Amino acid sequence: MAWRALGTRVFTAAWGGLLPLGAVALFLANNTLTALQAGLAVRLGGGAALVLACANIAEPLAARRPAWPWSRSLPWSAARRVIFDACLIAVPALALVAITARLDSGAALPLAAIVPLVAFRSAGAMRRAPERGMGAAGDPLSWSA
Amino acid sequence: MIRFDDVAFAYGEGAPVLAGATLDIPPGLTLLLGPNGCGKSTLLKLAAGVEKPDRGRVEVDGLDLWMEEAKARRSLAYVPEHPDLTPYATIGEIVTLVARLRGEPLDGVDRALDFAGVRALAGHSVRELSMGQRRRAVLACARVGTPRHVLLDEPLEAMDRLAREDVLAWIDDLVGCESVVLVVSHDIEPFAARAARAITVRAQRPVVLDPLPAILAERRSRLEEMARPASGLA
Repeated sequence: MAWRALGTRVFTAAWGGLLPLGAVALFLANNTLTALQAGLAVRLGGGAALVLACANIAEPLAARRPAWPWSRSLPWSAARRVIFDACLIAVPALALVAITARLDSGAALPLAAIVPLVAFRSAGAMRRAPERGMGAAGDPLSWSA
Repeated sequence: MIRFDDVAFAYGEGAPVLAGATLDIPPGLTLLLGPNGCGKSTLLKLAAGVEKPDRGRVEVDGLDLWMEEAKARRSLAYVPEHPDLTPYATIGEIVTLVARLRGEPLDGVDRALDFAGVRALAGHSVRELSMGQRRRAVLACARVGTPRHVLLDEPLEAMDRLAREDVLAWIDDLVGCESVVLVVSHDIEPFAARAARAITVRAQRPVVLDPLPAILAERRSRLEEMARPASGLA
């Protein structure tokens, strides 16, 4: 149902994360950097890409598949519903981690480790979106900042 | 049995709807009566696990609705007054999801769709349906499997005569099977003969109205009283 609500938007939303990675790739190509400096730059760009992608997926998902209170009466736990959404958000985000690994494999490891955290944060933010002025994207963006 | 144990609830920072509500709802048909806004539907939502109490516990057959979420809800079926189904799913998918979550065989899906008269609409997305059709879809979900705790909010509203008869016959079956059936309705006549007890919410607490025939008699006399000046004018 979440897939039908989003369709190919799940990928186009994730592409937003390519912008910081593209900027990092240009930064690396046009500057002479030590390995440490390059690693830090890739980690920074990869982190920004990850958060941007997760926020970009959570926002349209919250809008197109709004809160569904009746479903709470069904025999599944709130945790299970959040896990489903977090998985949907995490899969495209992992593609960005793979791209980051192409730039610097060492920088991709800590990034991969925080994917579940950012995905769960974004999935949780979707449930609070109607009560917030910032929508679903605001929470992961402000939290990561 | 559905049990409310010292339940308190308010919508956000608003005034409390329930405070210190303690109540046992045994098998049989229980009517939830009262004026608009007294807290009937909120009580039903709390029993269905749609709203979470700010304090206290709601139990279904001894299982805490919020500690053992999936297990406690397995025997629950809730039909809200305003169905809020997810817009991009089809009716067939929603009923199938309910069957899967309740651990029921999928061949019961068609039976449930037939009961609610929405089998022909199974492939339609919720966005395409009228409010009445959405209500029927939720009714189909409630018919999946053999729920022992059925919570119905204005189940006869926007239903044609045939559909009303089907719903009432289903309620009779449920009562015959010793299920807990909790109904919110402003139209008490169809349920009065079937109801074992009635509850209302007064001063943020549920009050059991006993005996039910007295309420019905009072309602009838009030209706007659209302009719009298009209006939006098005529």
